Amino acid sequence: MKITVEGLIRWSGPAAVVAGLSYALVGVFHPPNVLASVATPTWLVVHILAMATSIFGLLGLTGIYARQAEKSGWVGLGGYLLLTLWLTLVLGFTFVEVFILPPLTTAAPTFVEAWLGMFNGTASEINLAGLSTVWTITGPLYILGGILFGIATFRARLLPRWAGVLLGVGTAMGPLAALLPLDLQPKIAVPAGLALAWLGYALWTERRARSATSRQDGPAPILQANPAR
Amino acid sequence: MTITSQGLIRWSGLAAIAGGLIFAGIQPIHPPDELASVTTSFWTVIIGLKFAMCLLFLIGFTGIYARQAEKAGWLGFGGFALLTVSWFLQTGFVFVELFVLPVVANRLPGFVDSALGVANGHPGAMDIGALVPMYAVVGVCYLLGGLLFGIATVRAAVLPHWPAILLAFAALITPAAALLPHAQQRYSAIPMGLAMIWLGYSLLTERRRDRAAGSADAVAYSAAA
Repeated sequence: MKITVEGLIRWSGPAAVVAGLSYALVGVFHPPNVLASVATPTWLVVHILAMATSIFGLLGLTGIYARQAEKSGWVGLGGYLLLTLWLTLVLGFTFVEVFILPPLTTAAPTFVEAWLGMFNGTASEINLAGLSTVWTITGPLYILGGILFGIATFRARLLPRWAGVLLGVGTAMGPLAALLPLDLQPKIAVPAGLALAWLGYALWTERRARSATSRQDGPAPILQANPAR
Repeated sequence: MTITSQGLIRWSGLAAIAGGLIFAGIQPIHPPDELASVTTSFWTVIIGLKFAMCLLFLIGFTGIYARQAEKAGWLGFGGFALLTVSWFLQTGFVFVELFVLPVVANRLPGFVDSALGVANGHPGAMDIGALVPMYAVVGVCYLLGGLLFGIATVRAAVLPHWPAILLAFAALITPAAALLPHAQQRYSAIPMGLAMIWLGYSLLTERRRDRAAGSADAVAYSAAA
């Protein structure tokens, strides 16, 4: 099978589906941010899913963006860059939660509790200074990135517009998590995760759908085959 | 200014250049991987640059790959996938060096020693779980990914072949560097950084070059990208 740019963009769709579903599952099954959770298998599985959200999210989002780059303009580019930065920073946090916190639960419970304090608001004797600032920054990156990318997707009219709306609304709802009880807060991720999966599924299947409805439709300019090489 | 696919790919060359400059530039001045270093502000600056470099490399490799995806075939795809995994995981390690180690240096020196031991080859006494095998994954993907990506870039003949050969060579000499003392090992990153600067520069300037040469290649480039 020959590799084509069009094929690569289409296959980034399943990556976005995996990322979106992983993110939604993280939202549903995330255990409470307390010391007793950290050494459990659920903690490990949920945070491995969160790492999957990052790597497949970076690939999937790149494909979704590439598909609509020319139509989505500067708003799309801004949203894409903000979400990419968010995914990279989140990767750092989940990396620590998978590889660092579990071995430290017995050796250094105070550090683990300080770490969890960033999320559950409990004060700690360890000052995590820069780390808490970075965590705070991830909020606006996620919300603004999601809203811009959602608007750009809606305006580009290449992928389902309602998936763009769901992404924008889903990420804009982020701050509402603060109004929920601690154990319900992660569930705020579910709509945005589903929106990403929806966009990925649409990207994956659109060519088949398009060729089934009309063989007259040529590929979008971005996907044109190279006539000269 | 309208955003175009070929414009985005071209500008990703800038990310490759910036990442390469950081990668090559920090090696001679990198503070030693030891407990006393991690609480210095110089550590924060250098490791902060490394964190930016990881993101720049992820973007840069994506652009370089996108430019030649069709010509680079499965070899190129394999190389790109392995390099993505390598730099993705590397981002996690650098995040820990930047944000976690300085905070815990006073309270958990044993942990910091062990975590730095993953990179400097002197394993600490503390069990740090899956970090050690994960660092091996980073290394294998870096080596194999760089080698495959370099070969695929030469064969694709879309970008200049010398930086691609340098990239493959830089990946290959990395295990040989393990024979050197740790302080010298890091110099093996310099050719990799230079290869990225060179590839990024080619990507950034090729359209202008083509236009200057009056070549019909510029048309082909626009269509291919």
